[in-house]
Amino acid sequence: MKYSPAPIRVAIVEDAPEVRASLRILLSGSPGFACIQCHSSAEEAIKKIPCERLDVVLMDVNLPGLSGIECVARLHALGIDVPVLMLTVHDDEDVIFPALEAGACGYLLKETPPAEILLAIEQVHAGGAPMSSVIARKVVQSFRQSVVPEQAAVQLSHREIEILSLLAKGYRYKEISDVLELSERTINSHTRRIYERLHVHSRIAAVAKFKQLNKEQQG
Amino acid sequence: MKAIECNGGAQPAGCVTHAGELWLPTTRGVAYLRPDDTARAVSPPLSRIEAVKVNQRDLQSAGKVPLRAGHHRVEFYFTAMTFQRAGKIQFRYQLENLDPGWIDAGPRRMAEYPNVPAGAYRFRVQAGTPEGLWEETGSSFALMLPARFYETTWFLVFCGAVLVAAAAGVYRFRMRFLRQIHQLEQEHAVDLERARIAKDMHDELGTNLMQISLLCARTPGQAQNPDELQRRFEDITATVREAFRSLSVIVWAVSPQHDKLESLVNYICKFAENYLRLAGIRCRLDLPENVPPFALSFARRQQLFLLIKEGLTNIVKHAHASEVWFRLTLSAEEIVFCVQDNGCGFNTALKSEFGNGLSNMRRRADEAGGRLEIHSAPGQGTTLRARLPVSPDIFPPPDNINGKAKG
Repeated sequence: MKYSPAPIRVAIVEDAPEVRASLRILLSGSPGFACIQCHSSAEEAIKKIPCERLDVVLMDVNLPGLSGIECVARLHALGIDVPVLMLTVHDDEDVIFPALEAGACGYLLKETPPAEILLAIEQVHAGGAPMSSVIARKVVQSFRQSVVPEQAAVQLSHREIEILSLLAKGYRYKEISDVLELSERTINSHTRRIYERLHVHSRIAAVAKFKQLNKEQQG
Repeated sequence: MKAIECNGGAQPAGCVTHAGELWLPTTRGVAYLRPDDTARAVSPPLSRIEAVKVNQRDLQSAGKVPLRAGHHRVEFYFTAMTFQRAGKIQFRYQLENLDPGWIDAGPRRMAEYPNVPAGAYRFRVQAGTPEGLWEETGSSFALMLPARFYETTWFLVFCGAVLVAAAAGVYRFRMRFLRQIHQLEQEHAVDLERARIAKDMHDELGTNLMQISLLCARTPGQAQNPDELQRRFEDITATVREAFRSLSVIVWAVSPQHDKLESLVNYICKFAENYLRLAGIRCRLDLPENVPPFALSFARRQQLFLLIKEGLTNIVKHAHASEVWFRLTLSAEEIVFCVQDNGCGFNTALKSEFGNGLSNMRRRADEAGGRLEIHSAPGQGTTLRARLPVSPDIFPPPDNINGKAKG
């Protein structure tokens, strides 16, 4: 008898019925994956996702009503830390970066071949956190730009800055692991933590901005 | 003293002493007189304006007289009503509204003003003794010289209003004219862009889609062969992915939110990383940490991207490189995109082989408003530099940015 580990439990949030159906067929038909939930809107996802144990969520960015980014932020606010992969049509940082700030830990292009979609889900489930050079640069900028005192708590560590600057120069994970003499697994956990810090950072920045606005209105 | 003796009817009729006293015989005795005392005692003479002539015409009555408009020659004649030392009486006069103060006329009994502009005036004259005793009020004459119509305030105001109105009219007309030109230019530009997008869609997407439709067509005989079907299926998948990529380039190029340098740089980075990774070449990036908010139009972005894409394609096809650097350097004057490889290089003097591709890249650099530099030598790799000057449309002054945002 062949040993089969528990399948990766996936939820899909996607408003286009064809894409939703295709993804469900892909996941159901692939060994090691199980499509547990399918939602056509962010509102529905926010209601249902907390009810079940899930391993990975695939989330479309453009949803009717609440956007996928808002949905990720609200799920995080509810304390649900299931890794979310954003689905987008084109890899535009202006769309992806806010999603990462909101708490997503990666993104998939809709043009990605099916085999790679499955691979990406597996990697994220295993703790991976892919980060492109452009996103790495944006993360560095984001931490540089806002000078809020409270942020001292969420500054990046020396190692994290090292990894980010190598990513920004176009190094791949394998090369970084050679240069820094770390395992790829460690680098993955670092990037995952960078995403988390980015999320906390953006929330603190938002709160700080809100406070400042209030002050200005009062003063 | 009217006696004959006093007038010299009899000799001697009188004498002057050394002290300057005048002794005169009278019927009742002698009278003496000290002329100095007399002079000191007299009151100042009374002045009187006798005649006022405007343009040689005498104005008989004092007051406002109807006169022709314009500039005038005005003369005043005055005198003093005294018989004592008539020749030595002094005069001073002032034409109020024109003269800033008194003007000493000496014994002259006339004042002339050759060219008096229109206005209301008052001529004053005072007579005085040679010792400097002046009469208190003197005489005066009010004179009203009417203005020509073009000298009146109302006329000036009217002219000003007409000028302003005319300027406003010209401005409005010109603005409308410019707007029309601008609109036509924009329409033309939009037409050009539309043509370009249509061409891109046709060339890239159209080819892909036609390929897919051909691959899907069932031809008898081949359909039964499972290997052939499998191969076709893979071809279709690859072509669809290609179509996706073309679409993504078109969407990126067309959407206005990407009309900035940062977007172009990000796009080049992503393209270079993916493309070179598939070709087994390391891609290194050297970019400034903060890319300034430079604006780059659709056409410029596309040309620069295609230029660099062609450069990368050449590297993958011909250079046999193991590493490629994409660098961006910024200064106040220019933006420099640099693609450098460590491949085999070529002799830039012998252009025959790559000539066509290189001139194509130069053309793209030109169309983007910059210029291309190529440095290479056999065995030393190749460096491409696209230099783009920072012109006002790339980095407008802050005011313009606001203006654009409002417009």
